Amino acid sequence: MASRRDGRTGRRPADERAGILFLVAILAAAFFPAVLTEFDSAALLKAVAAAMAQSKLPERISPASEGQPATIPEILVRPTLLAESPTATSPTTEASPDPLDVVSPSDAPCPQGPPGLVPSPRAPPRIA
Amino acid sequence: MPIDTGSTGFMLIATALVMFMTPGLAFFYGGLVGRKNVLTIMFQSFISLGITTVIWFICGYSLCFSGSLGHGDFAGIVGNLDMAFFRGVDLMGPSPMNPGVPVMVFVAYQMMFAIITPALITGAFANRVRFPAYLLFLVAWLILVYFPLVHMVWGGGILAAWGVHDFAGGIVVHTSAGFAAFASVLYVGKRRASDKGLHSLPLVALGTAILWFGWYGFNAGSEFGVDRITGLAFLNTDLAASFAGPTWLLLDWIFTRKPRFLGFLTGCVAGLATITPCAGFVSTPSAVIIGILASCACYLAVHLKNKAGLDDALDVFGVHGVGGFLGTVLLGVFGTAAMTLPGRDPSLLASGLVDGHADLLVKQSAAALGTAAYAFCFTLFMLWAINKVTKVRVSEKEELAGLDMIEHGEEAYV
Repeated sequence: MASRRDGRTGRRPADERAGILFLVAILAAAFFPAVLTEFDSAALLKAVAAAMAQSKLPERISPASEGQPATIPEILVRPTLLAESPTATSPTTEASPDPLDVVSPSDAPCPQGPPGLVPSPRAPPRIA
Repeated sequence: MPIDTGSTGFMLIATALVMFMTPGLAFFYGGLVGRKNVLTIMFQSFISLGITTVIWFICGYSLCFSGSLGHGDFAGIVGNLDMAFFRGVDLMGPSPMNPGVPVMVFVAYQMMFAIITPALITGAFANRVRFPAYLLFLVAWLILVYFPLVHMVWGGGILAAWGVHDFAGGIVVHTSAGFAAFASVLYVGKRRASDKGLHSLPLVALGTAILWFGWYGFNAGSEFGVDRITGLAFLNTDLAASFAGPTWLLLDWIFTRKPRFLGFLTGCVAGLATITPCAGFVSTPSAVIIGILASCACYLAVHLKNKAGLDDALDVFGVHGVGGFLGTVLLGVFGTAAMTLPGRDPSLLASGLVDGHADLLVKQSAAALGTAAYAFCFTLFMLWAINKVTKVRVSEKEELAGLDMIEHGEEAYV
């Protein structure tokens, strides 16, 4: 619109293109790392991964042969099932409805915040 | 409890910073309008310093902060009159948010928010509204829209009880003012005069600088004390504005082929409005993302508004309404329990999608939508009712002559 008003149509001059590219470059250089910092290790992705694993689970259970119990590939064991294992810190007997609530043995105890909130391992150090 | 001198000193400075934003807004808007309407719009901001303080003393503070849901307020929507005329605001009283800070500092700080919020709306109906009608609007809007929203979000009302978060006013200040501005534009219609502005970009730049400066008090001060979250809110405020400005500049450069100064300034304000509800709840990388998204969303909103032929003179809806709304929703995405202090009340945690919790996003979105609808409907109704008492819009002849001389008998430039 403004370009028509200004009578400036057609290809942009080189300095204008350079200016635009400069701004795009520095903003992109900040934006994408920021997105990755916030999301690649966030619990959101873990929740999605857990949900996907859960949806695949029935297909991958090895059919039980006669007299043998069914086996589940170890990599597909849901976190909620891990919580039921003897190695889990929480001796729960029922699967947690929220996979994020599961505390694995390697997780440090949550130093603050309400019970049930597990900090992201990539989250910045807590403010003392 | 002994007084926390550090926090009290900081809060007094933050209060003064927020007060300074209203004159800053007057300069910002003053530069954006035409030469014959500068004083009118600046006066509409400045008058709020006086009138709002009077209303705050009479009943405003009480309607915002006396009673809470199920404890003496009106259905969790608005407080009662127990503290009218500052009854119970004692010399030795602690503030509700930080017992180490005197209650009088809290009263003053919140009053500055009440002063600037209705002044934000004036940019939408610049050059068109009569002064007596504006005075009625100012008082009615505070009582019917602003005070209930403060009570619902910060005064222990229904939104607070539901778990909605608003660090410094994304819902209470920006969404409410922005959607009230939208209603005002629809009610008063387009400008007819040629003296539309902009008449002084340096004045706009000065206003933006003052607003940005004051915004540190607005956001960092909303922690209501000096701790690590205060620093986080301060830095996030600056980051969002600093990323939003170049983003708007880039969009302007691409779409209008000019790197416009006004675009940069507008982008900064959009970033500031959008980070407001999130400032003390999100990490610094999130503030960067929020700043960039703020400019993209607000730029699009302003473009669509222009295409729709709506005469939101100074883009109050596009910048404050859309920015405040977006920030409120994005808190549901980027709010994280990692950005909190040890031992803090769990009800003060804002834990969103990045922590794997979707419920905050739902609550924030619902609150933003509800606030937008509430502010829009009440503003429209109010303008209709005020028009029954006194004419809201100036005549075409008055508009052509300029409101400075017609309404106030003064001129900015002689």
